[in-house]
Amino acid sequence: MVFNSNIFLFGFLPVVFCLFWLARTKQQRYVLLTISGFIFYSYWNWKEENFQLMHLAAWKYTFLLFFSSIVSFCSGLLIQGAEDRSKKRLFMIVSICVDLGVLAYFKYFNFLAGTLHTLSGGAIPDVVHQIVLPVGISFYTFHTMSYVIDVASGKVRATRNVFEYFAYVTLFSQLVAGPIVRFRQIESDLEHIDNKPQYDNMALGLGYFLVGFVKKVMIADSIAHYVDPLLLSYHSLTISSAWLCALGYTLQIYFDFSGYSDMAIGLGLLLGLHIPINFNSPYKAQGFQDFWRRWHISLSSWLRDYLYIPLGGNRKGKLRMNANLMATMLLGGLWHGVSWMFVLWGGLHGLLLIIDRTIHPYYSKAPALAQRWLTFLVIIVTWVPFRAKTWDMCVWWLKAMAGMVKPDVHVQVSLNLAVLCLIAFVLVNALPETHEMKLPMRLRWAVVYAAIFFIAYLFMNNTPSVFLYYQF
Amino acid sequence: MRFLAVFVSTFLLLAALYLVSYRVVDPDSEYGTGKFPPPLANARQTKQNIFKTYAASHQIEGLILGSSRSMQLEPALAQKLTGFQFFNFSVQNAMVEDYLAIYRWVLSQGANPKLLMVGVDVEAFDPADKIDQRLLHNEPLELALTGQSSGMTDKVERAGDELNIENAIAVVKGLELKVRPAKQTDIVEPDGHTEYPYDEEDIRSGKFNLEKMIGQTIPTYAANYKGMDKLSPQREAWLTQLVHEAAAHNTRVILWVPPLHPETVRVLDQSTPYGDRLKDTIAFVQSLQTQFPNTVKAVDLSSPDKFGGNETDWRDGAHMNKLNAERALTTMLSPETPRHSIPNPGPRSPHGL
Repeated sequence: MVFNSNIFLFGFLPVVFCLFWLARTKQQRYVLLTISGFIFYSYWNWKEENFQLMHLAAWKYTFLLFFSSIVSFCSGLLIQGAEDRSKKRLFMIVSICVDLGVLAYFKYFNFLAGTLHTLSGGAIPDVVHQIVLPVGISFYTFHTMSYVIDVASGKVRATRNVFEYFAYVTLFSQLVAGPIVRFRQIESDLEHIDNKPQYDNMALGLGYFLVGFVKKVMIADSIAHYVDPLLLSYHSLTISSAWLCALGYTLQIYFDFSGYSDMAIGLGLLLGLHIPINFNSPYKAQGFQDFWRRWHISLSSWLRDYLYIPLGGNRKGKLRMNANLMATMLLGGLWHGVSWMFVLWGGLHGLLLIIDRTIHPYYSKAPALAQRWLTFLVIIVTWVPFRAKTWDMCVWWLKAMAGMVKPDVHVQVSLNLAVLCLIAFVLVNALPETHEMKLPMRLRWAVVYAAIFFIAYLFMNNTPSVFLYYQF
Repeated sequence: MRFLAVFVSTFLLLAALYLVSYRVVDPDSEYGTGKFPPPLANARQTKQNIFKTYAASHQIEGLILGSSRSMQLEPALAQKLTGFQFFNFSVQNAMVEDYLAIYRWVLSQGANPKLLMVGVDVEAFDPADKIDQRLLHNEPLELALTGQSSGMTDKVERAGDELNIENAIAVVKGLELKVRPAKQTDIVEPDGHTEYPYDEEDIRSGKFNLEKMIGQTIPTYAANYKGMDKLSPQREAWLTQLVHEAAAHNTRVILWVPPLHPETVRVLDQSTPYGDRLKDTIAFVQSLQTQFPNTVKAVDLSSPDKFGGNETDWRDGAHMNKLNAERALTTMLSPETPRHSIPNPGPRSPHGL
């Protein structure tokens, strides 16, 4: 199920919202969130899979979510109950191996098999399994892993209430595309989930949801409407259309993903849960370290805390630090999807981070606006391998941006795309991020919110779409 | 809670107001209110009215079906070549189910054409096996295809479909046209043939920029063929059904595959499975010719060289202009085509040219 669908907006959400506030006890609310999470998740399978496989697929992937959650829940209890550190460590490693094993099989098996087949010159047979990538697997696996690691390191106490834990993992607002919330970040809210409704929070939640909805359906989808067809015929890109596509995609992915994150935060607030922010005006970043402190914050901080620091971080010399940085970004790239293009994207960012650290003392003396726009310009280029489906597309697109190719046919670029990009560019530069906005909560604003929601709804109904990060 | 209540009530009120104004302005000519000039061309609806008027004074013996790519086929020229009185019932974005629904609707009006010329577009076999919404929004055609009108659930769904930004813009345009009437860019003649006076005028005066028009067409068609991994079996069945019903009425059927501009094809071949689906489409219409040898003639005109056309007589990257359309029509009906598949004109129609 996606947030920008009729079934979610007019069916699932109102029902869950009403039942949640009608429920009185913690346990009732945990159970409700668990059930709603599984319904939300399985609905995707029911709709997306073809008819013959429907039942099997729905059960298979919902079971996978259940399996991953129950393994980490039990591991948490075992780790907490273990007396010595080696046992704690053992339980933690087993649990992480299970999580990574599931992720590796469902997400990377075909990719690895294909790569080994190519590298061995065909000596290793190319075993392709008919695997459908379960939606959100990268996100909920990171949820469960962070929980187990935090319990093992004593940062969080394992919950004994299985429904509290399931409510955390399967919380529908952040289940399939994040933010990657750590248990300790919403533990307190879950503990006090039986609180009475706070109406200010609800109005604020509605405001967040609305801002996210507008970002997604009015801006991101409108840009995609023009960029996607142009990139389908990428051999016809001219220098201007190639740059416009790259700029368009840069803005699209921000408005799409930050829109999703705002909606997730808003939905959380409607249920009394405070989901941490995931974006902080990333295109205002002055340099790449700054960018990664602002873009997909929950992932970058996850990678920092559970990968970069355990690898040694910056504690073991400059060379090792750079190697750790590169390894983290390469894996971060691969986390996004099973393609060498994502690895390339991760590698590029790793390299840019290393360069940024090296030249930062000099670079930081330049005017702030110059730093910001230079960073933005390079980011536009780095989105090309991220968006390109193939190596050929990536190279062709970059060559077109450099004016190194001359297409036979000039695909006409709609003026609307240029106007949309200009508006979106002004918005990312002039407006604050959603959490910095003072969203009005007086009653009369409900009318304005409804009017904006109605217009955005007209956009939504025009082109049904899913969020870009659903594929990861 | 009051905040949420006001929010929900306002939203519902706005939706209701919008739906009422949509019905009053009726930008897609679906409800027949006729109070505002329609900004959108909806040939499915308007050609029914034109057909009724034309059929009242002419005996329809030939019917041209297809999408906007068949709209320039001239009934007058077809009559000159066959002796049959034709009507062009091509509609925008026609899918295979449109051909069948329109044919049945024409029969229900008392006409019994002896020859059908169906422009079978590749994208008319879109693999999503659902009846196209544009047809479902037209009650007579829906009735002709499915044998039943929309139920309450369908009507609610339809109202939901109307809530989109393109329709909202169309409502505003409808209001604007009422205040400030605009020149018509296309004119549908009494025999269903569509003229594009401004395009033709621009061509004559040398102002027409074909390259630009092709460039505008390509993204749309690339999106049409993106991910088209097969032809829809349901739509193949509908076309077979059309031929079957035509055979039962002793009606000959010419299934012709319209061309795209070679530049468009070149780009589509690089980025979409268009080429493969074109082969599938040609193979399918040829299989119908084999299956119904006395009824069907399959004609592959998928590139201009197949009918003596050229790369300049086009309106854009997908639509031929008048001259190429004439060449295509002449080839379809020319004496060189196999004898058995050319219909016998019989005695000349009293309404012939």
